[in-house]
Amino acid sequence: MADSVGTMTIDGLQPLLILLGGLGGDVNLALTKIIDHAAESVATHAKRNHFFIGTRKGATKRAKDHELDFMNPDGSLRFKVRTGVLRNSIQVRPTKTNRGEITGEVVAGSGYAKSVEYGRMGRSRAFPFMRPALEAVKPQVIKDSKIMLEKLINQRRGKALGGTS
Amino acid sequence: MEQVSQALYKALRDDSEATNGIRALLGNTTANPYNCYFGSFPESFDFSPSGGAKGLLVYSMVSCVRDTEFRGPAAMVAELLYDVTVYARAESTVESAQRRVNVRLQDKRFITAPTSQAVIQNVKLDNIHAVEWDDAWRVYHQTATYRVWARDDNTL
Repeated sequence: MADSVGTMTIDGLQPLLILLGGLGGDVNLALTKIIDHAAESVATHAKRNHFFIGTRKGATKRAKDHELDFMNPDGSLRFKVRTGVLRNSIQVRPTKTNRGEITGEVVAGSGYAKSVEYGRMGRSRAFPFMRPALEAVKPQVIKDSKIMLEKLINQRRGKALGGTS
Repeated sequence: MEQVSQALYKALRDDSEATNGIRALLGNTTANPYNCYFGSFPESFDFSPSGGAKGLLVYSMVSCVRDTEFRGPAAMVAELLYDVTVYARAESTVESAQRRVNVRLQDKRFITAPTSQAVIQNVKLDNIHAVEWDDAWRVYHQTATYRVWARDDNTL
């Protein structure tokens, strides 16, 4: 089984779900869309912002000599892409719904993904890419989720009011 | 966030308790080195009983994002993740060292304030992994992740 590197849980949804249910909305569909959006955001961020791609002649040697120089503005390091296997192995799995719990997964399928994320003896150091991506997109995803849910509530409320007048 | 990393280093190397602290658990009771490393691993390390059954502590910054929930005036608080990994030949040593790390870091109990420009607001354990065995180096290791809220006027 794959190792989990981090989770993002949205608490306090129960009253909202009751409200949405009462309004007759397809709650599961809306929440699945939100989870899909969150997983896509994490995967995109992990691929785009945590790897260094050097393409010119001698790029691999330059990357090896200066592996601690390629970094993000926050000081976290970028792992040099040599073959692209690890970066391409970052994929979003289909969102699952099970007994009222909706789960989205982003996986890095490459065999050495864990060694890069956590570091290992024999490697130079850890180059985390999945957890920084999760941390970076978390505030925006929560904000987007709020907007999406508000939109849905307003739509349903409008329909409900329209139906009674 | 250099100041914050340095403050964590001082807490982790545990030099005030030479006989029963983290460095004692890692096999050094009298003097340097502390066997505590930031980011990188030492090039080679002898974990074997003949080498003194020494252990190793490596901590590194995982991520740093601005804390959007903080609404204080003029202050910018960053939320940082740090990994603390302990390597040792004995599983019990790994667990004891991690417990000790937790005692020192949790709620910033043994962390001194870095400087007037850098303030650590709080430290909490985020998650801790199971103890694993590394076959190549013949050593047990365990990683714990800590969440640190800090203000650092030098860099932010």
